[in-house]
Formats: sequence, C-alpha cells, structure tokens
Amino acid sequence: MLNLSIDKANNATIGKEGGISAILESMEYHCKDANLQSSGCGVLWNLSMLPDNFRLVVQERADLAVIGGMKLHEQVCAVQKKGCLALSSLAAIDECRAFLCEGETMQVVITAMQCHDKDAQVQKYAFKFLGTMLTSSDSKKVYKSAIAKHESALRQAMKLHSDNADLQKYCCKIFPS
Amino acid sequence: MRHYNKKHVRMYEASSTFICLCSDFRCRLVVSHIHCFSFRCWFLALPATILQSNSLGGALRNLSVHSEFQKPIIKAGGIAATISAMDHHARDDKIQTLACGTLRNLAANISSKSPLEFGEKGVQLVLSAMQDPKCRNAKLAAQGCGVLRFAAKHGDYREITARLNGIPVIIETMELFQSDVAVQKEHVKPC
Repeated sequence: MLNLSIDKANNATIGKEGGISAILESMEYHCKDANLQSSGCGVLWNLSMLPDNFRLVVQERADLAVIGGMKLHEQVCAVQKKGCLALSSLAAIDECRAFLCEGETMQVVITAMQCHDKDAQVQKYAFKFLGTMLTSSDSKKVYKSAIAKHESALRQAMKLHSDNADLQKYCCKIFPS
Repeated sequence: MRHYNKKHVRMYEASSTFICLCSDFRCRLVVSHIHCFSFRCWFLALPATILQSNSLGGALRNLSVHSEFQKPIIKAGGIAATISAMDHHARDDKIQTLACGTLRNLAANISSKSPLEFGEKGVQLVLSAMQDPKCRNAKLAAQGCGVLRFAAKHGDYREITARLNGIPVIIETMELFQSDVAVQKEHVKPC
C-alpha cells in the first residue's frame, strides 16, 4: 500500500476503497508493533496529501492513530519521525487542525523533539508541523502560547541543526526574527 | 562448485531428491544444478503432487531467499517457470503460497531501475490466488501482498496493479487478516 500510494492516481482509489480505515484499524490492532506504527504513519502521510482524502482522514480521526502510536513508542525514532511527518500533512487540513489544537498533540511533538534531539529529521518534521499549525488564526492562538512556553528548547534544537537548510527554513516560519 | 565439502557431496549422492541439497543453502552444488537443468522442465513436467510443500516449490522458495541464488534462478527462467506453475495449479493453495513466496523473494532484490519480468499475467495470477476462497490463508496473503509490495517499487507495476483492480483486493486482504501482523506489515512497510 505504501508503494502504491506513491502514485497520486492510486491515492484516490485507496481512499475510496476503504484503505484509510484499513490502515487505521491495523495501527490500532497492532499498536505495540513499532515498525507497523511508523510504516502506517508513512502511508497516512501519503494519503492525507490528496484533497480527495481530506474528508475521510478527518472522519476516521487519523490524528488519533498517529498521536497514539507516537505516545506508545516515544523512544523509537522511526515512529517519531514518520509521526511528525504525518502530523505535518494532517495539519494542512482545516478540520484536522481543529483536532490538533485539542488534547496533547503539542506535548507529544515536544516530547519527540526532546527524546530525539540529535535526529535532524525528527526535528525537521516537528518544526514543519509547528509551522503549519501557525498558518491559520485559530490554531495560531493555541500554538503560539505553547511554542512560547518551549521557546528555549526549540531554539536550542534550531542551533544544534544549524547546517540543515530545510530545518532552518521551517524554523524561520516559527521564529521569523 | 567452490565451497562445498564432503558432507555436501555425500548428501548429493545419497539423495535422489533436490530438496536435501536445497535445505542447506550454502551448498554451491545447487547453483551448478540450476545451470544444468531448466526450471521450466522441473516445474511443468512434474505432477502437482511432487510440487507440494516439501518438494521443488519449497526448495526454490528457500533458495530465492539468498541473494547468491537469485541471479541464477532468474537467469534460468525461474520467474517465468514460477508464474507457469501458478497458472497450471491455480487451485492448489500450497503451490500458490510457495510460488508467491518465490516471486516475493526474487522481487525484493530487483532494484526499481532493473526490469521485473512478472508481467501483467504474474500480477493477475497473484491477485487471483489472493482472491480464491480455496487458497485464502494468512501465509498466502502475506506472500501475495509481499509480491505486490516489491513489484510496486516499479512505476509500471503500480499502474498494472491499479488497472487490474488490485487495490480493493489488497484492502480486503488487509481487513480479512487484520490480526496477522505479517500480512499487515507487507501492506504498509516500505521497500
């Protein structure tokens, strides 16, 4: 499914045929399997980029599966990396952004950044997610105060990966100055 | 023929079946054997009973796991022979499972830039086996999904799988074997 979802044409079919709910059910059933959680997040990342799938992703609450997986596998870098990546594409969906303002999403992302501070990709995708959350006024209110609370930790991560151009680009969206 | 010892030779002499040699994958005699015989002959000339789980199909599947045997198997026409065997024994779940396992192992090590010789027929046969109620089991589902997963590294096979209505079959299999972690992993794991 992950490989098939590389083609955008297939993504719509996967969504239409119930692929999103099948992935979410699989992630829920095998929640203790870290490999499956990271791969599941990878597929969700691909599928949630297609506008045709937005409604399904919101309806099926894909955000809960991603957050659940990340919480259960805090120490597994691959899960945190793919989880942040999936969250960054979910954050681009208006209805999903509302869900991501509630609950513990911000805390889960910050924990991922703290546990894997040396992994540039975890940091990059986490910054990407935070940057996307700041693009709309509603989520901006919630996330701006949360970001302010963790500003020193975020700036430290930014400094640690100063050679990563993509990461710096996402950081600039959060700290324009 | 470089790395075999007396034990291997004795095994070879004592056994009239191929499987004894194949069970020890380090025995390079098997490779020379592969070059001497045509897989097509083995697979098609032998009756289905001989191709059952403990025989040739199993041997080929076991061999195909190891990268050193993959090239000789492909060169000797192993992919085409496996697909023919699937076609000839469509209702035999053991042969279908072993054949899918062989194709999966071979496809796993073919890079996305090299051509894959499954063709539309190969994908169709795998999908048919996955859908056949008589063949439906978790092992075949995992192997079949594995074939489709590795084939989907290749752009043209992503298109073929979608065109042959493979996506609903994959999703159905995923739902049917929800509790089987091997099946689920074959669905979502990257290559």
